[in-house]
Amino acid sequence: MLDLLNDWMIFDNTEIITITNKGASSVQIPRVVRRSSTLDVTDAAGNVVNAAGVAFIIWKVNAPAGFIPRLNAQIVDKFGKKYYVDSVNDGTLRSRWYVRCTSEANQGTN
Amino acid sequence: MTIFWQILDSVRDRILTLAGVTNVVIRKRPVLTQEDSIPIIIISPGEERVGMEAFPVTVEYKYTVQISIVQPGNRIFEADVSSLLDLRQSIRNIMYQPFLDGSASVYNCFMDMSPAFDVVSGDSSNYDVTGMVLTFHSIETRIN
Repeated sequence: MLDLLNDWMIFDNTEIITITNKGASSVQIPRVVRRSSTLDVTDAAGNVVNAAGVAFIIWKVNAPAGFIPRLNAQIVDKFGKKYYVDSVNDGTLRSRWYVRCTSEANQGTN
Repeated sequence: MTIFWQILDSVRDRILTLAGVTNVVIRKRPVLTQEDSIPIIIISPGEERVGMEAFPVTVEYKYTVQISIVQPGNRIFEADVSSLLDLRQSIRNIMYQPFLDGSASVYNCFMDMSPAFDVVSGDSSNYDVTGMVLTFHSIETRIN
């Protein structure tokens, strides 16, 4: 079996994000990759609202020791836009988190 | 000017008298647009039904009006429960009254409240949404 866990990977357009778990201090994580986002209109409770679904890929090797993203954590992207974590996927070879988020109310996407 | 519009306009005026409430709009449907600033209160018309009838041409119409209150929830689950309930109760108390200034034919009002914090999911999970449906009873003349 090949151990690829610590191999180099090349990505363009990475960004630094700030992530804050509920009740914890903020953490900055570099070299995060943003996946394409969608500005959505959703019918909920009889009201139509808009929000953006976004995903960030965070490599564990770039996160501070002991840090784990939690549900409902706040993420601030490089533009200062805020998102809240809906799900965390322990990605390929458990080397990265695939973090799905929803934009702050009425912020939409960039 | 229709009675329905008079009612919608009067509802908006009355809600705007509440302290701290500035963003109240009348729309065809309870729709939040991308350009809206929140919090926002959206007033929209619903049904128009016939109630009592009286000889010879008197009729009671029942107009339903939906009030939707949209707040930024943003995964804050504890800190603002009390203040949001305060706003909801203030709107309830100011609207659940028998008469409505600006709509002289209205003589009664019924009310159905939505859950205080409706369960919203998916891309709307960062909004706190609540509301109420008001039914205004209006005595009018049936066209003969």
